[in-house]
Amino acid sequence: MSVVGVVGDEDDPIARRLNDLGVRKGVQIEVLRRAPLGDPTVFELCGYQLCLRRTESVRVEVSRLPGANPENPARAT
Amino acid sequence: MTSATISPAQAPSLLFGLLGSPNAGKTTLFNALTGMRARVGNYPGVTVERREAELRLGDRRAVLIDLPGTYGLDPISADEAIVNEVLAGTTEGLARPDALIMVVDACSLQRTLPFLGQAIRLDRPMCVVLTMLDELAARGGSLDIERLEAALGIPVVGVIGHRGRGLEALKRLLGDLPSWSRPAIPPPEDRAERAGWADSILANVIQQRPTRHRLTERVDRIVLHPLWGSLLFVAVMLTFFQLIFTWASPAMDLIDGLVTTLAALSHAWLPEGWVANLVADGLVAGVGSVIIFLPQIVILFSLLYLLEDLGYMARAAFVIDRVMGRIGLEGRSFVALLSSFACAIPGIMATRTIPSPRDRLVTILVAPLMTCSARLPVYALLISAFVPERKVWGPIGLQGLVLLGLYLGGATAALLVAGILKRTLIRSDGLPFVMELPTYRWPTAKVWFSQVFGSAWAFLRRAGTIIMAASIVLWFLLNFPKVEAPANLDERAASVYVLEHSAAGRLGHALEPVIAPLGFDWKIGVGLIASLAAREILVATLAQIYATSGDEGESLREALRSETDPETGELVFSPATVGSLLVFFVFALQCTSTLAIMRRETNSWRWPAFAFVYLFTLAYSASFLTYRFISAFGANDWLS
Repeated sequence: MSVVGVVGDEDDPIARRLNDLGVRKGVQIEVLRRAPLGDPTVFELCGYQLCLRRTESVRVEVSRLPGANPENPARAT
Repeated sequence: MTSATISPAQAPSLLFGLLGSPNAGKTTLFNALTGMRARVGNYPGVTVERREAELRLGDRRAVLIDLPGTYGLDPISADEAIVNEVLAGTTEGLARPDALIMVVDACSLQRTLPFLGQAIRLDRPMCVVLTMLDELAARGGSLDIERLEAALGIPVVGVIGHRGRGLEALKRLLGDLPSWSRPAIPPPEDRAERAGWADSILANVIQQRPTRHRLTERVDRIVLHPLWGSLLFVAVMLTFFQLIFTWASPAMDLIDGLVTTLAALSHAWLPEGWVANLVADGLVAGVGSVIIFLPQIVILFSLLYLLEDLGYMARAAFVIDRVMGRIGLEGRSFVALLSSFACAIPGIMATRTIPSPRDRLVTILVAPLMTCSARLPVYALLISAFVPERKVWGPIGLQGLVLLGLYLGGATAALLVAGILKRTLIRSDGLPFVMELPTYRWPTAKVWFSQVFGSAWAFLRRAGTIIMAASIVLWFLLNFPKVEAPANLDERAASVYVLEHSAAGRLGHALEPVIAPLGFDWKIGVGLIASLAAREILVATLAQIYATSGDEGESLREALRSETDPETGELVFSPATVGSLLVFFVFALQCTSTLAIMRRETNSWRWPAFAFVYLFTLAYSASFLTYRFISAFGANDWLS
């Protein structure tokens, strides 16, 4: 999957933090696994593994196919 | 020294700031460069650790300051803003760094490049240290360091910190600041444009992207498996907890024995009198009360750093995060709270692994509620004296159930208080939960040893002095002023008489109106005052007050059971009083050592004072309710 966007503008601290963590438009991101209790989830991006809780990961919009229509993005969760 | 030589100390020293993301290998590099001689303190006003150390660059003196790990230069909390303040030179008592060293994990260069661009825009002399090059190679990746240097316009050095490779080249570079190149055009200011800048550099520099770490992938299939992972988590945590207990107790018994022997020896060597008593029971016992914690601290940190360096700790936090998230904390608080079952001192020290300063503070404040091993002797005495040995169901006895109830009561209270604190006084600062899962790697013995040694030494130096001072003050309270007992009393009655007229005895009497609603008399009051040094001292003090010879023997239990009020003739230790006293010990912060370590870890007396007041308020209210409840409804039907 590749990141299409993050909900929240540049003044939104969570969106900015996700951006700093490498969750940027065009970056490849994969869901690796969920914790035994269902949350958080491990993602792989930019050559490292990142755990995010659902509260943050719902903000990440991805497309499942390269070149898919960014108007209708799927959520990463 | 002749006047011709100039001492290096007189030359102005350079200040280097070490910048980088968490897990990039910043601390490893810091230790490799400075050789573990860090001065550790706090930044003013916050619980963020400040580490700096001297660095020798030929004959020049330099200071390296290890900045808190960060993912960028746009702070979203006051604690994160520290990095920006240090870089701008606005931190109290700290000059603006002359140059910056940015540590970058070569495997996740793609993530870090925009941050790197932001740092270059600060327009300070800056160099980049690439770490984890060994891991990059192991994962089949490669990058061109020379091209990266050319694209960034600043010096780049590759280093393998834990092996010491590349360190000499880095030191040579640090010693030659004027040679550092600066970029002709700074990276773009706008976030989106900077991302484009980063992508173009990346395309130019990365020859081969790293694949997944295969060992990590395979191990995680089991370690993070919904079933096996959960079972492993429980097994690791139980073993961890059990080892702190079982491995530490022989060493603690040994220290206890040594202290007793030393005290006896000082009595034998010194002329009889209060000086001998001070040395034996104040000084020696005071030193003993400090080093008695060392076995637990050393074992806890040996295991903790081993699991941390291996890469398991982040996985454990990942598995338990959901549970801790319910009360507003996160997975990394769990280990600290679990450790506090052994002793709150190492537990509070273990909170350093929690990145959010607020979560860390809340964990520190509730850690004393976890039933530590010092409460056990008190529980054991009271339960064995007053709770009948009756089987309730199968092999499960009433005594065991009461003990379990006390443990659960403490842990439940800790979680409830944490939840309340996070919703009221210490609200989250909007920091999202963010955690990297590092690849598994074998820890190096040298790094591991120095981490454990560093923690033990920090405890001795930072908390030991306060603990010792408090022990000595309490000794004075219990022994002064010295009143001669009337000649007609026998030896035991005389020692009670002397204790009653000491400062602590008078305090106990003065406290009586306050503690009477809990069902406590002045003797228990003296016991509570003495237990401020350490909870288990209550047992020894009660033994002294009730004039028995053995500490835990049948005689003390008998004495407690048969003690009657001289005026009313009623039993002093009624079921209501016993219940109230047990509940009091569940909550009260009767441990100066914990206060001392809280003071050191939070860098102010404010939080230990807060913890002391709230825990005593809690203890007082809960004891009062217990006393009233048992008095009203009676417990004789099941206790007798």
